[in-house]
Amino acid sequence: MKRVLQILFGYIVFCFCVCLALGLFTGTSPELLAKSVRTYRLYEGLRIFCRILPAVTITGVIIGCTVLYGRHPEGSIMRFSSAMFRRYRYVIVIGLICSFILTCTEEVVTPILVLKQQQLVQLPKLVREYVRIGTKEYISGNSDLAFKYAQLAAKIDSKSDAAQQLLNRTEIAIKTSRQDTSDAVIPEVSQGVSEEGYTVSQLRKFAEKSYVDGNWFDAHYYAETGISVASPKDTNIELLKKIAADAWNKLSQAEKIPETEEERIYKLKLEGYKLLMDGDNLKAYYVFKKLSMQSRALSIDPDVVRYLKLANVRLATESFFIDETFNLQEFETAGNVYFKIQHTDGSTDIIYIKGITSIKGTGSMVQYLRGFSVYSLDKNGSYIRSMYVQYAKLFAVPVSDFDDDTRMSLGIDEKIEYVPYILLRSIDRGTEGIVNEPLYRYEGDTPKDGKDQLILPISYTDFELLVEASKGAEFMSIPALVQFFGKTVKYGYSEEVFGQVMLNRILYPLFILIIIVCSASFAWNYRISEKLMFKTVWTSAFPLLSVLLYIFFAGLLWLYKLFNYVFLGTAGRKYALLAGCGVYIAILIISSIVFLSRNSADAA
Amino acid sequence: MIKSLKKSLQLIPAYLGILLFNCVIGMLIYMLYFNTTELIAGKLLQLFDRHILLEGFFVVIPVVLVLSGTLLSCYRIRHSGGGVLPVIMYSLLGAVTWCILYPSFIELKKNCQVISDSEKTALTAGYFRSAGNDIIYFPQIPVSADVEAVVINVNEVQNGAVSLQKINYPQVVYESAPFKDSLIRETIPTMPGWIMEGFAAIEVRAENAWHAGYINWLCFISFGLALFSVYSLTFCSEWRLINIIYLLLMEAGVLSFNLLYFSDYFLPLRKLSIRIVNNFNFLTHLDEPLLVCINVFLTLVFICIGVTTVLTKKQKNKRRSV
Repeated sequence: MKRVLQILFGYIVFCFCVCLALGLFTGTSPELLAKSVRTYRLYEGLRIFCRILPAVTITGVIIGCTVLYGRHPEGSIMRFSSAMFRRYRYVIVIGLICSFILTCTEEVVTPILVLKQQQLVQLPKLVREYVRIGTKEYISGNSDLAFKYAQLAAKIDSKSDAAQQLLNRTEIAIKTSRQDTSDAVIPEVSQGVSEEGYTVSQLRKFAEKSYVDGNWFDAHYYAETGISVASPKDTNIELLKKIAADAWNKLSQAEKIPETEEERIYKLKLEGYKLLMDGDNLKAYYVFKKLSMQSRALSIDPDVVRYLKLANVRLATESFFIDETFNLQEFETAGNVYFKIQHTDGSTDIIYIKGITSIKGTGSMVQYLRGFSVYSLDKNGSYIRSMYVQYAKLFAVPVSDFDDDTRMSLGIDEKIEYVPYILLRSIDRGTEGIVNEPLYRYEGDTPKDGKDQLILPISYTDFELLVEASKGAEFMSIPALVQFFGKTVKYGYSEEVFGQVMLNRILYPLFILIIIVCSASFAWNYRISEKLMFKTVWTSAFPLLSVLLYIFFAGLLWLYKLFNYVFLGTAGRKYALLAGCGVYIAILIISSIVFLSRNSADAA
Repeated sequence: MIKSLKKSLQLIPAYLGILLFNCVIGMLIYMLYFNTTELIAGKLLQLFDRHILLEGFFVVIPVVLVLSGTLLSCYRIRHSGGGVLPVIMYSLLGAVTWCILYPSFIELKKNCQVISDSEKTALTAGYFRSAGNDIIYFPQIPVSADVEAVVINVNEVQNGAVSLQKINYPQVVYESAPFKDSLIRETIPTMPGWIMEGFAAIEVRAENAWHAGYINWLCFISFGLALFSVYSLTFCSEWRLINIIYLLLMEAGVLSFNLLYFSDYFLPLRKLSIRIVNNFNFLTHLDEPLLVCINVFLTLVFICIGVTTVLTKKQKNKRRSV
């Protein structure tokens, strides 16, 4: 066995070197960064090697075995001799090693190489995109953000002139703005007192006095001013907060025509607060946002900050900000995802998502869906309605959040734990009125308003499987493929196709093992003569054997795929894998018997 | 001598066995492949079809006959020895293949017409299928030529990527050929076109040559002569594995050349052939004279190599024994 392994691995290493040389020095590359060209070519060489590895391995096994069996054919005068059983043991060990290597190559190495090459091809586009976004941000005055983009671009391609230029420009802009800010900020930072020169304890006393006097505005004003100038550890702060809140409560009870600026602000705060209480979170958000943007003092006003934050949190369950989706297209992880959802009344929703960007949020995964469409058909296949939105935001919500009636009305199965919750409306962070809303169309072109949120009555895990399935059954992980196989028809995918690919991939090691055992039988039949001297010139024929075996292996693989359809067709979905295993094991047993029945009469 | 006679006589059942075994396997694979091409997502796979099996017979037989020389040579490498008689028997079997079996097959094919009773089954509803650059979804089983389907236009960037449209159903069926369902086509690699077309072209050439007369047939079987003569190379090496490699490579070379001769790759050569024919009047009687000349030339080269190798080996053995 040692000799076979020596020849096998020696030949594999030789072919590996040839493939690397072929990859490095031949062929054309797509547009790449100068520094990535060599790496890309290296990966190309490795991919060529992975493609020919089955043929190379079979060649190595055949040559190794022909030499070994030719030199040591003793002990095999009769069929099923003990010497043949000993050889068979080694053949199985070699077969298992080869199966393992080839399966790993097919399932792990090749996908990684494809991914790496794709990443390298993406790099120049990424640099261009970062420079484009950075320049845009720089022009808009966001030098900090522009600097970060320039840094990212320069990190990927340090030789990019555009990236370096942007980096220099943004660096200078940041330095200048820091100087300006520090000049402007110094008097404010040194403040431990109010604009009028009062300390925190003085402000507390004024606030208390005003509160006792029933002067709610002054009480609120002093309390708020005290809060704004006090340090977080100040012992007065809790009392000031209480006075401010109580005063605010009193103010909210009074309806007065605003006369001063303070009154107008308080009126606005009151309005925002009421909107928030009424559940109009979007309008409340804009009221507080407008207030916070009016002045620096208002931007740190505890009420404004508090209620703006509250509005923000509430809004996050209804809509998202348009700026969250800027430049997401470049970072999409899946594209052209489509599936159907069949409802109990017989109607069908066809879902189509043009691109998906997954972003790891705090604790959960958030997915931004580009070009999200829902096309609904009734049970007769007639059009009911359609919905399209440029961007949607999806996250998983637990079904336990819904009561039973809601769950049933949404058509969610009780076994499902999490469902995809989709926000369809996106709004501008600063300007009221800029909204991307879902466009609903109904049969007969009667425009009606639809919902701004959507819950898909499928499990979130299924949604993730569908995203993976959009890449094709060949590119899904085996556990995901097995998991998805039983659900294919439900979502409009072919059970035959996914089942066949699943069988192709799961039974592949067994298929390789059979080929190795058959190769060993072939090697015995065509082994080198015991007395024949090995000629170096023969080694030149081995690559030719690999070429022949490459074609032969491709033919066998074609047959293998064809047969896997037969298993699905005859044994059905449930037993196809079992039937496939059974048949391949039977073939393995037959080929093993053929090998064991070899004897010296099969003369060299 | 008896051993030699025995070896040579053994070639007859071996040859018949090779033909029979490969025909049966080929027909079964053809039937399986054909039934898979008929498979539609959501429907059952039909495993056995008598008509298809018979159709497979007429597809597989010419391929097996063309490859019979290679297969017989492989057998001879495995069961080598026996002197000159097995070589003569091999040559006789080659002659029988190309002068009796192949013409008989052509006559048989002319008299037997296989009528396929495969039904025109419609595609199933409820599945996403690719059609051109789009994805289509039939909400109902398509029964007419103009059928409504949900079309997902993956190139559409704005609203309207998904729509219910009337589609050209026959065009969808045509695009998924040779498979009935494009979904199945995506998972089974189709046979390389040049192999299928090449073998079909050889069959057409054979039929035309047979019907055109004996000279044309003789011209055609120069191809068989070249294929069978590759056997001579199996004497080159003392290690049978190397002989197998030489044999398969040369057979592949002769076969590929004859398959591709009528393709665009060899257009300059065919033009040259016309010029040569114009200069040599006697060549005008031949069908594709340049191809015939090349096949005959290859045959002579292979035989010369084989004979030289055998003679050299004999001389070496004599010297050793002396």
